[in-house]
Amino acid sequence: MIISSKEALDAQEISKRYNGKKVLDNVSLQMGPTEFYVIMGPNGSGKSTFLSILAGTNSFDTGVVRILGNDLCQDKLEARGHIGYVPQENFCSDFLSGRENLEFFADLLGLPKSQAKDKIDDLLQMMGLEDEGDKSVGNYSGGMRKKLEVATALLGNARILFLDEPTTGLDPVVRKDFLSLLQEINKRGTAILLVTHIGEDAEMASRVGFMLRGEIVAEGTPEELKEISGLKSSIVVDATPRTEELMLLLASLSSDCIVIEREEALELICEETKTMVPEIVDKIQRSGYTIHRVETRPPSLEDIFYKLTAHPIRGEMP
Amino acid sequence: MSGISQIRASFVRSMRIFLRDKAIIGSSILLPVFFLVVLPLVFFQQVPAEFMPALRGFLVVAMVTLVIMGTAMSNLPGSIAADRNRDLYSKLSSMPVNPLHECLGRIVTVFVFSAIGSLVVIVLGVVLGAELAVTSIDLLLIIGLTSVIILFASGVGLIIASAAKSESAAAHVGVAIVMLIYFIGIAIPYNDLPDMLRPVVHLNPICLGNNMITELAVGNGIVGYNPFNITDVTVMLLLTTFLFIIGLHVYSRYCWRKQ
Repeated sequence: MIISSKEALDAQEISKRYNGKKVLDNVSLQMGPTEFYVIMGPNGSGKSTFLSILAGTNSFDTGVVRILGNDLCQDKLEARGHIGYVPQENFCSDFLSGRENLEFFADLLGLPKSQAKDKIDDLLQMMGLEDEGDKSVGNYSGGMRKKLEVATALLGNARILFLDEPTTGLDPVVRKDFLSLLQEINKRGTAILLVTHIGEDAEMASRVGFMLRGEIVAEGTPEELKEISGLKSSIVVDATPRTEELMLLLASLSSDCIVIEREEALELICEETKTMVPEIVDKIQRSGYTIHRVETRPPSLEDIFYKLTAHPIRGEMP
Repeated sequence: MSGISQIRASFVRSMRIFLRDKAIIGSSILLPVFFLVVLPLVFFQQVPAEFMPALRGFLVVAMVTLVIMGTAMSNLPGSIAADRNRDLYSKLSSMPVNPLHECLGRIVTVFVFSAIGSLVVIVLGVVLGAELAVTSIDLLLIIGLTSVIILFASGVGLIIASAAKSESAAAHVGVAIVMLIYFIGIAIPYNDLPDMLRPVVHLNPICLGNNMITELAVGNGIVGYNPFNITDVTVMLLLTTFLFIIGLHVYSRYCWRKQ
């Protein structure tokens, strides 16, 4: 593949070992200037390490990283000038207001006072924090903190945002609101690379990569990945008592099926599901279980991850 | 990118945090103020009245040194460790920011915060009857010596911050070292120290600086020896330079970079 030197990101064959263990194995990734790329993987798959390398905060053994054509190791200042990085932890100080935190980062970047003030006002408004800007960050909710941190990343001349599991700990409504905000930022011309283990975070991406054991094992648009997996839908089974026997019963329906225990119900992931619903209802009832709900739904990216990697995304890597 | 603006950014942020964190104010300023008021009531009751102003002066200098040590060796590493725990350094190392500039901003904070705390202690000490007689030249010398103490203590603080795994570890190790130095070379006059501990004073720039300032501000032979000898001055300057450089180096190496 020929990559333009003005790609937002061009990472070639990145490898890293840590304490003798291979954490990343020749991972390559190229992103266009307005792309929204999501790397999905379970804890320990190497996705956060990869992201921190791309953001210039972590070392690597082999490979090359270029940000808008600037080598991250050779042209450090130029490359870093285009990066907006939001690590997983809440790095803004609780003792400062949102505005004061932004002033700190603006001053670090050398923005002139008046320009910084205008930019901070704009960003607070964009994040919906205009009324909270002068309040202490210690009083912010999780969603407000994340928005503020994204604002810090947009203060300079960032052309690509790196976000490490930004929606972890956010409730579904706040998460949706936050993801809409990222989409808006992306539409305004900033490339976004986000790593997550939450499938919903990846639904809006222009491309998704599945990472497992330090490698990107599958890649494509959400639609392409659904196509590759062959999944048409999944079946949600809410029946009681929810026992090991019930899971075995569902798994015995077809050798192609995988049963996942979700918080709210059991989920059956098979390539073909529509014709199976009557059979499932019949078998469960005859086995003495009480059915509350059986329904089919489109497969999520978490289902597809499971189907393609045979590994649940919510869990530690062995 | 302007180095000055990075130093200023780091200074303004750290200063705001130091002035808003009640634990920092309490441990660095209120504790020495408390000692300044209470210690004479406990230990100086039998002292003849004519010696009291000098003893109070001795105590004021000791408390100023305690303010500096608390700020540089406990609060500085505590705040650095807290920032490291919340991943601020990952964020900073992704930006075009020079670690030394960011660090210098923190050191300037130690200078300014120590100056504020010292001023509170000196004013209160004088109100309580401390005798501090200094000429303009003495004052310049005292400012220089205080700066040396701050640089040495900051070097120790940066090393503690780089080695400690958590905020509480950084602050507690700092407090332990502050107490050790305070009791061995500052609170107890040199003449009252056991022989085996006296060499420690001559190897510690904080104790040496404190004794030199005491000699200048209080006089009366209260230090117990002539602190302005060439060996002590040389040791103080060399050790301070060495430790401060080491502190800057380990800070930018271990606080800023992941493995």
